[in-house]
Amino acid sequence: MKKFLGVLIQIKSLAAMIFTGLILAYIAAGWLYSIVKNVPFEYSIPFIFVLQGAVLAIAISVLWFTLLSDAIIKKMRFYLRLIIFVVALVIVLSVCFLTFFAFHTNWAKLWLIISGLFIIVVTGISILGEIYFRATGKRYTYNLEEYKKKIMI
Amino acid sequence: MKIIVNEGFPDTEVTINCPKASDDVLNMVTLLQSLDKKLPGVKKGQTFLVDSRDVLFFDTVDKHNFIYTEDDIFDTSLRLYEIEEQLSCIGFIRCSKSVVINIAKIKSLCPDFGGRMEVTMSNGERLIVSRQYTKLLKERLGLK
Repeated sequence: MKKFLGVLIQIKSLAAMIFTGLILAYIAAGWLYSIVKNVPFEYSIPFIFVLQGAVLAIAISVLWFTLLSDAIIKKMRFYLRLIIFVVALVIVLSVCFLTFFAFHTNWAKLWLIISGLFIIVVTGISILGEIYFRATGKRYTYNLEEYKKKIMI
Repeated sequence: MKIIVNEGFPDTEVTINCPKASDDVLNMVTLLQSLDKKLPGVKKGQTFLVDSRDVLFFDTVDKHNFIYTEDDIFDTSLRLYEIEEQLSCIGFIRCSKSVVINIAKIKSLCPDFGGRMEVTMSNGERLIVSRQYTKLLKERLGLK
């Protein structure tokens, strides 16, 4: 029970941070929209948006906790976890957008391109990072062997 | 330092010739004694003395401490901090809150994102060195 509550608190804290970020993003986007379109800034957020934001924040925090926090998956290389997280995140976001909004075909196409690019960029960076770490690992292993020789004497 | 190989000797004998038993000499004696360290480990109700040189790592799971060797796992009543104190001089090092590893039994090292390090032991078991302890391990191995 204590462990479960500990996990719940961590997920709640993450969800709260993500929710705050989403609301701030909504405010910034609304403010920019009002400037670009030259319309009055809307000082209220529809209640349904708040609910959708909360659902999205919980879903992302559960994904984050499961894949990136080390609490559940401990021994998988981080680059693999990151790639799985990004793919899962894009799927969750797509499902949320499809459920919450009536997507126009053009928007759907744009979303597919952006999310596809996002996955490609993160995967590329992760793989490059992993190549670098493996090369560094070889140097570390060499130093380890030298150290072993010393302690064997 | 002088090593004399004498095949007629039944066992290894160490003699230290010194003008007085200084702190350095006593440290040397402690280090030599710890090389032959045996640790009590329990398996299926039987107590065994496990040679510290055969230990891969110590792990704590739900407040129970375990000794991992190449082929066996033993229960031990020793606390992790005691193990760390007693065996750090012969190449044991803490790699996370719950694990102490034997450096001599590490097969390879590989850094990971977030300042962590993945350690592969001689039996293929992979362990994660947390960011806090990665720095200590790198210092110990003379890595920058």
